[in-house]
Amino acid sequence: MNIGRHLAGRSAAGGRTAGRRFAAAVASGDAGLVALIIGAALLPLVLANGYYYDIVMRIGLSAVVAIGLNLFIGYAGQISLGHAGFFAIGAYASAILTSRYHLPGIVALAIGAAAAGLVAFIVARPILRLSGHYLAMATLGLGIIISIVINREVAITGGPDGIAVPAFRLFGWRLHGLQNWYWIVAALLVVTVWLSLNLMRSAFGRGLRALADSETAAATAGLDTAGMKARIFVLSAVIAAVAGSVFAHAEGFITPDEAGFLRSVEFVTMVVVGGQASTFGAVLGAAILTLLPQFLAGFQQWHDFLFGIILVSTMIFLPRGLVPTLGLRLGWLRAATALPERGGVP
Amino acid sequence: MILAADNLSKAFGGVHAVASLTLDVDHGITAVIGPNGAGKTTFFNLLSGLYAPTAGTIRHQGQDITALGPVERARRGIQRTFQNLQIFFRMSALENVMVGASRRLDLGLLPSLLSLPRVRRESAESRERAAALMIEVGLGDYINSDADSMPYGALKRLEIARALAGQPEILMLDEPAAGLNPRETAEIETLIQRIAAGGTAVLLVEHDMKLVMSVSARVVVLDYGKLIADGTPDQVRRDPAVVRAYLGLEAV
Repeated sequence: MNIGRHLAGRSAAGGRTAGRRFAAAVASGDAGLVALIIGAALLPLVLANGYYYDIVMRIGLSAVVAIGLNLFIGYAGQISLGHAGFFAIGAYASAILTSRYHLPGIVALAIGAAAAGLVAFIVARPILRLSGHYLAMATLGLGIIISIVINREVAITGGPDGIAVPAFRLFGWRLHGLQNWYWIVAALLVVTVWLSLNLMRSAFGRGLRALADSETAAATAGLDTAGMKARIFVLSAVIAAVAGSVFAHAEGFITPDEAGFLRSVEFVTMVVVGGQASTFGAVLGAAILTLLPQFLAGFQQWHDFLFGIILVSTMIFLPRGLVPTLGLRLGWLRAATALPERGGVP
Repeated sequence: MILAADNLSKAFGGVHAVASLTLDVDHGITAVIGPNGAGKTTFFNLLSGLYAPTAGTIRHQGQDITALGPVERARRGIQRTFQNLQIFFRMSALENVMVGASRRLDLGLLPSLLSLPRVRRESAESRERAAALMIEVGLGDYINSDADSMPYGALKRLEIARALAGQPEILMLDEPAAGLNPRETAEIETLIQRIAAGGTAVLLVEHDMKLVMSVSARVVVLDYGKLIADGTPDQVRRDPAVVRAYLGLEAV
């Protein structure tokens, strides 16, 4: 009996129990998504003024970038120190195309996302052949190049002084006010979380985690590891650019700081602190690292130092990051991934 | 024949790990043996596409696949295990086996992001198939286990289960019994025989001569990258060149 071929014909019989087990397995992730939607719907009740709206919006957009970056860093096991560059490509595309060329906001956003995706696609093949420190250096270089271009092309980008971004217009309708932007950001975050959860439950997602552990074994199992890494790199760049576009319109003004190396490090820190290979970990990391500086507003000059401390302590004390560590303690992950004994009831 | 190596050579600097090797592999169990450093694992790496040969060609079902990488070869049904375990240690045992079935799954990024019904159905089916396959290979106790919590003997078996999940036409086992106790080795022997009986060709690199001689229909012997003997276990056992390679000149 050929074990593999024999089993191929068997799946139909086990389909019903498989469906039930599968439903049980995904339940925990879906519960998180529902909780996020409810939380986002109720949050405005406690947001007293524009300042709070601004903070929450920054958390939401950072979370969107961190979720995308987590696919590349946390799941696929790669590293990027240049994602602020993609965020900035989106932000500046929206700023420049809507202010100078009067394009509708949604068109500018799409062009920005496509531009970031194209840059990522072009550099992906040569860069992703590298790993570890070399990949870190290559992505760092990419981010710095984007940052330099934005700083130097004063005539187009406004240079170090930054650039004002007009309101987002769509079919004559004008979106303004942080309260309104809140709902756009909340929707974007929910959709991004949903996409990320979907991906990680798919064979593609399992393949990403597999290649993070052993690229050789993944390739000999028939996974196009180079292509998968490239596609996830492009996807994470596009997600960052979309967040950048929304950020530009919502804030109304952007500076080259958004493209800076320190912003890239912040995004990586969010992924690492919240928990690598955890979608909700990326959201939590974004929340923590956006809120902390607000509580420590009097220590502005210590901001980068503080981030360094947080990053290093996480690596030492919580190498898995917050959410996976808590998850293991509370048994979430086991419940989410385990199958019941044969014949058992989930 | 399924796989054919023709004048295959691989040199690392001045070392000819595999030297002008011509060999056909057909159905049944074929063992590749030879002293340490004979080029057995290099030969496996050449067949699975991890190394590009210095010279020579490899054909699969008559087609030249020398230029193809490991991914394309795996997709053609050439699957393998590793002497040094290449387990996905941060995944569950079940997920390891599910990844093994990748060549038959939809890996489109957009359908996966949107969790289209087809992707969900495939995922559920592959989960069920992987669980059944684990039971078939004697890993039923580990279906819920994380790979990093499993004992060595079970991990060797997990690599075989992962390779089988791809429904290989030819399965290459690189020292499946290394580090196993006699009982585990006997179980692996039964498993290999069942796999071959099902129509999957098995190419086996193994140092345990008792296992090799009892399961193999054909044994090929490499020494310094060259083919020095090819025949039934009995023929090979009596071959003076083999005895010389293994025991040294004085013993003859």
